[in-house]
Amino acid sequence: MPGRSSPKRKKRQPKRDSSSARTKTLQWLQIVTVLFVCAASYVIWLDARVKSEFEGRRWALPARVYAQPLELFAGLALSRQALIQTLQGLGYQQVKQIKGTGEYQVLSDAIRLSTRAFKFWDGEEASRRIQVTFSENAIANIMNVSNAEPLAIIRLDPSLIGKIYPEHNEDRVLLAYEDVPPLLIDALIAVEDRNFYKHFGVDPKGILRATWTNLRTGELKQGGSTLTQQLVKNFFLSHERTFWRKFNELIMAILLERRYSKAEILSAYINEIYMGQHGAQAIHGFGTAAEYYFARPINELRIEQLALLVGLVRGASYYNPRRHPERAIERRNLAIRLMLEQGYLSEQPAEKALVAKLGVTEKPGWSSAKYPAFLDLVRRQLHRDYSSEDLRSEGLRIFTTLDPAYQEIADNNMAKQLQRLETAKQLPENVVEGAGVITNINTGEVLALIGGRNKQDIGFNRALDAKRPVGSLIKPAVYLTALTQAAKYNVLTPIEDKPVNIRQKGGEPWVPKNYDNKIHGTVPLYIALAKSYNLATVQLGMQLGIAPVKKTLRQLGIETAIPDYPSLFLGALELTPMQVTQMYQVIASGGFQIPLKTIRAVLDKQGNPIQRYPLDIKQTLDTNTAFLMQFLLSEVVNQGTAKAVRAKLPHLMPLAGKTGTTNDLRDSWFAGFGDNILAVVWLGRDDNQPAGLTGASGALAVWTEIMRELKPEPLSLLPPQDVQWLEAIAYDEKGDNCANMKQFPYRLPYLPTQTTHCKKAQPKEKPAKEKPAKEKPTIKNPWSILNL
Amino acid sequence: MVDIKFIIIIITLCCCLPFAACTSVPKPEQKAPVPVEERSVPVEEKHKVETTTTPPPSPATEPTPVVEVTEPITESELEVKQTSGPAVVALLDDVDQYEKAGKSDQAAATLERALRIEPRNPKLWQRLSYIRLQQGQWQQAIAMAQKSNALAAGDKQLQLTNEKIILQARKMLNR
Repeated sequence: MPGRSSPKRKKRQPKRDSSSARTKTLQWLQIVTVLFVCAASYVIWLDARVKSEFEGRRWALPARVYAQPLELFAGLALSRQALIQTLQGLGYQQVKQIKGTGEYQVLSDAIRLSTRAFKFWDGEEASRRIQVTFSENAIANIMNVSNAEPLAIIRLDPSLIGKIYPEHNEDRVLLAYEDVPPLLIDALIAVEDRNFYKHFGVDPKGILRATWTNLRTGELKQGGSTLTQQLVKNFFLSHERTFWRKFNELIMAILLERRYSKAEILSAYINEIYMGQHGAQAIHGFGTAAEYYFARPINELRIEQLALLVGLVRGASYYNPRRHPERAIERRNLAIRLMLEQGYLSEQPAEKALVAKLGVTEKPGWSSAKYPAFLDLVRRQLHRDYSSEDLRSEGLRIFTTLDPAYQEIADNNMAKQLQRLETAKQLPENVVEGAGVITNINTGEVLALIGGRNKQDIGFNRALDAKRPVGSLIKPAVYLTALTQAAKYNVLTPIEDKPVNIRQKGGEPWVPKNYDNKIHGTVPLYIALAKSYNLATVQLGMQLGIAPVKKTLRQLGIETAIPDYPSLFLGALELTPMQVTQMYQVIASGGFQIPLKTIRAVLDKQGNPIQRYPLDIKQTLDTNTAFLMQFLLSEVVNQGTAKAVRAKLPHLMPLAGKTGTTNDLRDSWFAGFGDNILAVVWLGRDDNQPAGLTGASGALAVWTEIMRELKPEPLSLLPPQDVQWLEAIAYDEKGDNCANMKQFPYRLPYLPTQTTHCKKAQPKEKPAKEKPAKEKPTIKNPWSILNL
Repeated sequence: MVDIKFIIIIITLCCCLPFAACTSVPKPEQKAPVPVEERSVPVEEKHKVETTTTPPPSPATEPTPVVEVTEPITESELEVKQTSGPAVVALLDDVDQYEKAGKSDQAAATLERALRIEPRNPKLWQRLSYIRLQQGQWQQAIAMAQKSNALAAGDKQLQLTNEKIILQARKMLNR
């Protein structure tokens, strides 16, 4: 009978049901609570991470190093071609009609251009549209196109020549949101995230659409990731493709959107997204990418160039335009079409963009390897004033003295001439090395630096570190010492070029020889230096003593230890090309020591001035004495060991300089200058073996070809207050020849008092009636010591 | 089982979102800054790069150098524009403006620009020398005046003004 069990069952069931249901609910609640707490804490933790990463982020920016800017003004010796080259180096684009900054137009005898604005140390140079007219390889005038008024002077933006990187090789060209071209934002939205402004960090519709498109086309063309998600991926997470990473990405994207506005997210994205690799250095951000791929600022990029960059976010290596141009073009054109489809571009510009060339530069938009020798010098000078940390992370802007045109000329001619010399003199290939320094005489600015024959070689910087015996380059110091004793020595004082035998304590006697092994007898002082006679120089040195010559060397800026031996007179002193330049700078400037300068100013990353390196001069030689030395050195070129210059560059005369050759032809030197430029060249072998080149045959040849292109101003031999030119008989080996008169500078008040009349030489075919010889007053025995 | 767990987690997290917003302390001022500016993390002192706008201290280390002009140097004495080309004249206008605004460093920098164009112009050197005198850089004032003299053979007036500058600078140095 069912009655007996059912009440029991009926009774029990409700009891069991209620308790088990309660237990189940309790259990359920417990699970839920625990899960809830875990999840909540996890989300809070993620949120804190988002905040700290986004706001605590501080980019370590490299220091940017600039060359000196080109200043344009009427009268500047600059050809139209030279200006075009400079503009191309700056990334300016040639166009048929100028529409924006960074563009130029070539006219028949002029160039029209729109300059870029730039913040210099001493003020901001505004962007201007100008027309530069040329005439005979010089600027005839400059006109401001906007108001048709003449413009007296304008500075172009300086060329970026290198960067000093942080350890982890970061770099950014940061873009403020206001500076981002609107078209770039349009492109990003069109290509990567249509619904950007509408979604909350994740875009389910976008995912669906992407999946549908991919299924339809059978390719993985679109991803469903929003820009926010991509930013999260770039910012925080590693590149693992795990479920967990994707999961975190979703959460963090949502959290990011809750914390920050669309503009802020977009701005961070534009500056953060990975855009490529340059060796060990990662390229992040569109600003940096514009520089890297196109060598131009982002606001100057054209539609197809922006589209290319946007296409790169999907796979910077895969779509690398330099390595995979076909893929890059395809991707770029897809981007352009998407922009057209969604209404961000109209037909015509889109079609023009689709057929345009890639436009990427061959090499990255900056190259720290461009001028490694000069950059090395810049770094050394910076390390005196800034810690490595500041240099590598503060985004400092460093304005240097480099003239890129001069540097190219210097490097090219060094390489060319060394090759030519090797062939001509049958020297082993690629063995002889070279170094050089080119400076502005009046400001001490280093315009170019040659560290070695191979300009890309970042190894040994010979201009700064190769200490080599200077040989005859030291002789001006000896002759200067003599000239400071103005009562005793002038440029015509007779010096005896006769054998020298100097006993040395506990050693062999020193018996130097002339280069031609001859003895030239009594010669005027200027000839002894012009022809670089060793014996005459030592005789003179012994008359003066070592101590006064050392003092002169100190006045010439030599700070190293100087040996106390008479061999000093013939250059037994080791100096680097840079030190030699510092020394000749004093003579070339007329007696003023000007520390060689590489940096003009340093600004912070916002462009605010931090430090300036002003012109700093000190007079260490008497002006008149320095002038006499300039005359002597001009005689070296006029008729002495460097007379090949006069033959090769007659239109640039007068120039001055000194050759230097050391024993066994191990070192070949030439230091020479005009009115505004000084250049020192050294050739030799790193292993110090004989190089087979004299100063005249080696370094002088390189110097001459460099100066042929640089075209220095001729030396202005305008005498200072206390110097007077007087005529006298020039030196002639065969004897006095009154037909051979010459102007010589004399230091007041030490003028010659004795004069004599000079009979003019009889001409060969003389008519029967002889006219009396014309009398010309001259100085008796011109190279005897003067009576006061 | 995995599917259920997944769904639960998602749902739970979706419920957590409003809570997440509440748990964070809202700071309306602390926006995500525009990348070009410094972040909220303060720059450590040793990384700070000093901003100097004052000229480097003179050897005499006087706080505010007062140049007692015993023999006044007049503006017409320092007049450069008559001897210069248009580019330099334009730069000299800037020099004038900077000097009036008290920005002597910028004035000097602009003069250096002019000197790169006309390095043999003794009046430019003189003008720079005078700025150095006013800045209290006595050694530089003397050196630049000497350089001006070296280029001014025959110009008595110019040399006279240079001598005045040198005299004053020497006087200050000897104090």
